[in-house]
Amino acid sequence: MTTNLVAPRDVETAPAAETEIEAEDVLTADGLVKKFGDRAVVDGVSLYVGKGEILGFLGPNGAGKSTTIAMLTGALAPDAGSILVNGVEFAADPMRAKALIGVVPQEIALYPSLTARQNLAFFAGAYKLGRKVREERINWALEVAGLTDRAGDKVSSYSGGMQRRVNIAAALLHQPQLLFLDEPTVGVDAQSRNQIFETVLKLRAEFGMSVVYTSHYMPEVEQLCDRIVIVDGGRVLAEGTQQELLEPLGEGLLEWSLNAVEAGLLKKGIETLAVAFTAHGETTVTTSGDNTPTLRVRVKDMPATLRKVSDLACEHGLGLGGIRLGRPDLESLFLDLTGRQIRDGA
Amino acid sequence: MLAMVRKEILVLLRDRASLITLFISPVLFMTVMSFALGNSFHSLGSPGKLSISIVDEDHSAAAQGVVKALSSSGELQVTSALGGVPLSAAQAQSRVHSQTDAFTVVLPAGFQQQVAGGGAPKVDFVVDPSSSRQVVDPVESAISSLIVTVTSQEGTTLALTKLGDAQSDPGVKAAIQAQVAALDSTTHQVDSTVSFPNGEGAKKYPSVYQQEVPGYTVMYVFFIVTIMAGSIMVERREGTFRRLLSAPMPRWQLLLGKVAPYLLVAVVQVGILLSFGRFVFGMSLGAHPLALLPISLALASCAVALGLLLASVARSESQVMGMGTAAVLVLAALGGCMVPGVFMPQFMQHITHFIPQGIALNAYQDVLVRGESMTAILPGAGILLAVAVGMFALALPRFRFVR
Repeated sequence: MTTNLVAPRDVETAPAAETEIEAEDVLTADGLVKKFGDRAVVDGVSLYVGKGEILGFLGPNGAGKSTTIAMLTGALAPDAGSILVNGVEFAADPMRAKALIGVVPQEIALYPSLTARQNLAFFAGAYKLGRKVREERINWALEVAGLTDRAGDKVSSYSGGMQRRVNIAAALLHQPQLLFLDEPTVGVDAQSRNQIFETVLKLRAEFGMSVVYTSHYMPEVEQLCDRIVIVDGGRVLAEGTQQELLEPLGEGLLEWSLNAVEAGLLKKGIETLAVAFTAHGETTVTTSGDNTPTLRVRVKDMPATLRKVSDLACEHGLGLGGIRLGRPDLESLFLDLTGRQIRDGA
Repeated sequence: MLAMVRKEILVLLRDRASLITLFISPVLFMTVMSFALGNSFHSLGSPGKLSISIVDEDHSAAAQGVVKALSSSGELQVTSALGGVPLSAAQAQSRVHSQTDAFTVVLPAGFQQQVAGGGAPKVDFVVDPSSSRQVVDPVESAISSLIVTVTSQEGTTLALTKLGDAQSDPGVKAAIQAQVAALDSTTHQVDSTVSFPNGEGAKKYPSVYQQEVPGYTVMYVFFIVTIMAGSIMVERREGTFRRLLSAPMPRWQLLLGKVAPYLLVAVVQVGILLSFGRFVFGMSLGAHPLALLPISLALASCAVALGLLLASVARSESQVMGMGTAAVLVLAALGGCMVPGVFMPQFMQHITHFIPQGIALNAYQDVLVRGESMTAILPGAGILLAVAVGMFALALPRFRFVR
């Protein structure tokens, strides 16, 4: 998708999208709550998205991401809390608010028996684009998706990556100020993923489009997003730039797993090592596992920590085979925040 | 909303399975069933006749009288001999077994003696076990009645002959013989006619197509229930509803845009099926064909409302298929679409009046075979519309675009 993203803007644009007073933040959500029965799936989530910002919205399956996005996009009404889209109160004027956003659902939300052009024409109609601007926008969106040549083919005949691109194109027709991308790279190959990234970055560069990017693939979020919100159990666990989020993790994370023989050499178990590291001044030391006891240490000073590891190994006759060192990343941050991998699910 | 309607029609037109279910399948079904049931319905005023065989084991005048009477009744295709040789009991049973004949009447030896003695003559009926009692009983009753008539006459003849033979006065003897001759020449044929209740506009007995086409039309219109509910489930699964909910379009427009095309398709379906009956089978549309329109609109509304109700309560596409197909077939059967109401037990005939399919079918038959006008069918169409409104009212509070 190395195409020029300059879109026709001169005529008949969706009225609400053009007449809004520019707000500092494109999206502000405050204290969102959604309950299903007695269970609060979303429990007081607040977040904001600045103009031209790409916000990563991270969390494992069941964390409340999709429900939050459903509320932010008007598919679900929140039980409590407020949503402002470019200054428009969602609850007070949902039609105006909706005209400002575009949504790319996680599913391929298209009609497979229709052609790409017919799909785009239908969604353009849903956004009430006039006849002339509709044709221009459809041609532009097809160009963005790199599918101009196959516009007349049924979507069912496309590859997974091509379908994903049409899925995104359908959300761009009314040129929203805020684009929600819900797991847009599920099931696509590396090349299509890169094309999608490239498109998102160009949309931001060309139009100042803000993006909420939902994913549980940490490397994608690290690569693409300016700021990140991590949710779990319906609550925001952490929020900030990648640098801000990773700073408390120090220089890295050390994991030391003991086999049964090694565990037997320690009279008080793996706690012996935990006490030693705590005394050494490492910020957080956690232990876990019965069969394979594992120690996790946030490393503040890597050379000093490695010297400490060497000393302890010699002192207790332990091997070094169970030691892993990790660079601080969002995966390790999530592990640090929740004690489990993000892909473990809720 | 127009974009939604246009899209829905496009999607539906490309769904071959749905088109086959809605249009091709009923045409084939009603054609096959019309031909299959033609023999039954043709018995009055049409070429087809019920085929029976008769076995004369008595070889008497009384038995021959019965054979003659049945053969000349005009309502039955009677076989009493093969190649000039009278049919044996074994041959007759074989014909029933092979379903050549619907059943066999056996007049056993001693038949005439029983008639002359004034007792009830014994007659055996041999029937295929698969034959419905609701068909066999009335035919058996009619034939028995005919036999009673013939044997009474034969008994009178025998008694008079015996009395005449015993007379010595030639004048009295001649008078009795003349009376016997007059009885012998009496025809056993019944000059029957078919008429209809006073006030109904039908001029002749309805064709098999007038009987069959509306039934299958009503049944197949309701197949849109599973197609529409299935389409709603797919939109939920594929996330297209979720996407559309984020568009600046009120939910009522979204729902109306989804439902309206199916209403249109159902009405078009009725039009095509009735037109098929009219132009392919030569079926009469009655004296007031415009009266078919309100029934069709009300019927289509009912079907679409049921589809929405199903989509509101079903949790999965498999539930839609299972519940939808069962509901459509059971309601069609209860409504008299598959089996004519007269063959149903009494309690089921009562139920039919409360089933939308039964109400619609009755209204169609009012127009097609009873020659009724617009005024007569409006109450039925009104009830159907009320049922549709009721189902919409049940469905709407439960309907969810996303689960």
